[in-house]
Amino acid sequence: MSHANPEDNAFATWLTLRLTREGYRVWCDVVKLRGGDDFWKNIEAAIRLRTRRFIFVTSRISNQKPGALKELAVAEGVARALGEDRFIVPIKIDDLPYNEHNIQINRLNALDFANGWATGLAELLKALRDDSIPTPETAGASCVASWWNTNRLNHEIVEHKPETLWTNWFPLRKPPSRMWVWRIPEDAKLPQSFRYPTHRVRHFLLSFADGEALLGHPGSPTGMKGKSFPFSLRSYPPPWAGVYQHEVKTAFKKIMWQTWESLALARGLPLYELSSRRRSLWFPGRALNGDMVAFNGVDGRRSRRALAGYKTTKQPTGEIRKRYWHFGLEAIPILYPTPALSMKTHVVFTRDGETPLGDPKGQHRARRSQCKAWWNDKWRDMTLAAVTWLANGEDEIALPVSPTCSIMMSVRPICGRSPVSYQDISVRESPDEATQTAEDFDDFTEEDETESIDSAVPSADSD
Amino acid sequence: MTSQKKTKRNRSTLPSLAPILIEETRLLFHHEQATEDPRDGLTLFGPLEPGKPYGIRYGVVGTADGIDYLRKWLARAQLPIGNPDETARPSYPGFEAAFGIPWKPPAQHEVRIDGDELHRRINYSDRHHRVYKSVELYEEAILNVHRSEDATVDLWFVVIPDEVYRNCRPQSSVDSESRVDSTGGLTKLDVKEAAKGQSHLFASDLSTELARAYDFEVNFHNQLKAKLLEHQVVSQIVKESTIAFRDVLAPNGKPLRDLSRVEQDIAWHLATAAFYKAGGRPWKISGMRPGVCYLGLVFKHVDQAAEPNMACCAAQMFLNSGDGVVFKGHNGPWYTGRRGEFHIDRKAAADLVLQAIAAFRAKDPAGTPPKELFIHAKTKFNDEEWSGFVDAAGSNTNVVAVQIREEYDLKLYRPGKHPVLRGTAIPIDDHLGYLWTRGLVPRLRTYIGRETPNPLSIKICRGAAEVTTVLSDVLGLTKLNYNACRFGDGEPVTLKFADAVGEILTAGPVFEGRVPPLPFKHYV
Repeated sequence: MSHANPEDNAFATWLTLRLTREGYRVWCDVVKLRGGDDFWKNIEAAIRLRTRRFIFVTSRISNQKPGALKELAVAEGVARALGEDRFIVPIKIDDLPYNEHNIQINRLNALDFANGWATGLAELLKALRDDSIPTPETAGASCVASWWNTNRLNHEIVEHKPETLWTNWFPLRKPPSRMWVWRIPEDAKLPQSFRYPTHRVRHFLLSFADGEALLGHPGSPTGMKGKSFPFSLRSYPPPWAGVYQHEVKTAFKKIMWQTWESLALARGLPLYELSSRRRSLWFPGRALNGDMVAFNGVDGRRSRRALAGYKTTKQPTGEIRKRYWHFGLEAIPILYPTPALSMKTHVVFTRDGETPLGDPKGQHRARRSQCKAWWNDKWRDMTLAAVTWLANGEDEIALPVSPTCSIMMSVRPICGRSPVSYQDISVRESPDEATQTAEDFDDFTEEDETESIDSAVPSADSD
Repeated sequence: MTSQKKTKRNRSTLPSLAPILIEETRLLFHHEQATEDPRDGLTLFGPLEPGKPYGIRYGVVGTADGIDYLRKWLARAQLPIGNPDETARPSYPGFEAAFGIPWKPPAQHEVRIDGDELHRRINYSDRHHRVYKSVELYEEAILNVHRSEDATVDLWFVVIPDEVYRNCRPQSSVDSESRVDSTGGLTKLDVKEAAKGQSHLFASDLSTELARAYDFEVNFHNQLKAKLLEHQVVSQIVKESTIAFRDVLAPNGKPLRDLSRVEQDIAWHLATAAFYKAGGRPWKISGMRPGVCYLGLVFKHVDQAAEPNMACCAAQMFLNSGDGVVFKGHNGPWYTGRRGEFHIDRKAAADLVLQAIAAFRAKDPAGTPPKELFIHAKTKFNDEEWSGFVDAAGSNTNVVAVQIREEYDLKLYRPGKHPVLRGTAIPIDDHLGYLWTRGLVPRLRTYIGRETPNPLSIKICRGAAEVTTVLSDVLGLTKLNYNACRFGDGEPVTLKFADAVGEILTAGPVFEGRVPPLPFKHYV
């Protein structure tokens, strides 16, 4: 099969494989199914000595492509020598008018694939059958599958070399050994807040801090006598504690949440309320002074990342505006397989570097447009940089739960070794298009909205 | 003071994350050949089972424009679409080249609906009335033909202006300029009273109609599907801008949606859905263990019910052959009051499994029950449900209950720029594992998705199975969605449509517990 390479490769590949499937033995330079290499060393000899039918894929390109035309000339010679009228089978795949077909084939009747490949193929198969062209390929279909699965699945990009994968789970160490519990009388009015994190469940108050630490002076936070019991996330609390294991676990999570928010406030970072009613800390312009944040990268080298930046947008009115983005982290306590804080990433948008855009839909739209080309490395490094900044250069962040005890969070997340890896170079990037998918057209669910149209046109980027 | 259940887990104290790569599932096509991407398989080998030789017999209902758009799109769908250089988006070779049967215009029935009337109805001020009356226009157009004509069709194309999509969903609102008052001043309270027969004052045709409209969900798609289900009419709803994005323009004269980059995807999706809904089987999972049956549980809170906890339960059964059937279970007080948490009683649980096993046996040449039955749900399973499942399954079927949720709290980052491979998994213990169904796909050389992929959390709640087997099965089930044609979905088919199926079963008072087990194609 002769065709314009590379322009008509897709069609030539398809037709070669479909003919092979039917049992024909086809040679085509883009699909070397068997012994192809020897064959291609001397294409002229192959056309002369080993070819029953020469298929010429006629298109606007092949009609003027020297390589294809040279093969056609050879085939023309062979057809003459054999006195075989139908040696050349031209097939037409685009709108090139018949009267413009190359002189060597315009007297021949080209089979028409331009109105649908299936119709053209049916005609071609009929023509080959009528001429009793042999079908020596007894297992054509499996030959096609085997060629395709070897050559087109790109499995070679996956290398059997291990690589480290990084989670966003930052392990927690040193949970306290005891937890306090106070019964809350029915008519009790508890203080609005305590000095250390607490959690109220049914008619109990739980904390890792004792009464004096919570109040700042001797006493009970509920007016009732407190008891401390051995704290464990794995075993049940003693029956006399009066609380269930799942309540103890929930208390631990809620206390960790509070310590994270206290950390944010202590480091001068604001909290942004999410639609889930949970809160994420974020990095306003003033926190960073426009500096990038240094951290230890996954390759062990010192790296730097911006945790805030802005994009200049041109409004439909012509006005130029800045839209600031700010990286944010929400900590989600997890207990299994090990106690850790899962760092969920967020991006908060402001107009002035300080005040979040009020409208959640606007935040969502801004994220879609700002972050569409933020991939694996960016989210990973921003997370590591933010945690490093919060740790103030230490290896661990201390999250105080009582005057004498802090739960320690490592700045290095839990990692795992994957048995396989691949090189970035193997990836064909299409950031914009890859994210655009044709939705299920029957889909009327609310959350599956297509890409929101951001009317602002980006004109400059600055990190 | 508390008696607490013993946990059966062997929990290690130290985290040990050992990622693995689950091998990509291959799909089986005609000529008994298998490959990874359904688009490759169809292009090279054609569908698993040939469709009807006469091709696809279809009807179309829409406005004059809508019908014309479908006609033009179908002419275009005969020919190849796509750019061969785009590895991420396999080209579409034309319908017959992929499916081996014709699907050519004209339609067996073209039913025009009045565009002006539709426009009026989709701007009704009352959202229940708006959706009810818009659906009615299409429903009556289809059923008039369906009841009277001898020539049945395999499926109906329902072509809707984008305005229907915009105005007829749960959160839609109509701007005040376009609004058409349709309630004649009746308030919701009046309608409710009229519905209860407590007020003869408003017992007019309008109040009766409004009362009926209030019985249905505010969702054009689900309401129409529910109403057609009763007549076993298979439909494919499609937006005008999807099939004619160059012609459907925004006020600024530009296409409302520029879909030029995804034209071949649209062709693949619609062509595959049409082939499947017309009774063809495009592919199945290759090399699946025999005798396996998957059941996706569906729960839906019934908003219109008098009892606040009333919910509908159903199950979608899938076999490795790709056959999907939906069974409706009993309505009952299954809603726990906590968002997304439902539990059925022992009898209802047993009933669902009995229906599934009976359907499995009916399809099995030897009439044997399934060897393995995996029950997938987004919710947890309680003792009572589990007892019901086990009661019904008997000793010949190994039942395993699996909870599958999208996990938002775990990310896995590679050292490079691009995300982890699809199929990456982290088995945590004998019962729990995380699976990335989204990620870089070597065949496509790219990651189709935004930012960084989330995994599914897959938990074997009850029963015995190897966690890696369950993970591998779930990866396979992301490739059985015949309502589209893509490398793989993010969710297994057992759960992807759970919400939609639930909504259709509760879209209105269409089914008072009398839905026969119907093929899955009626619901999507």
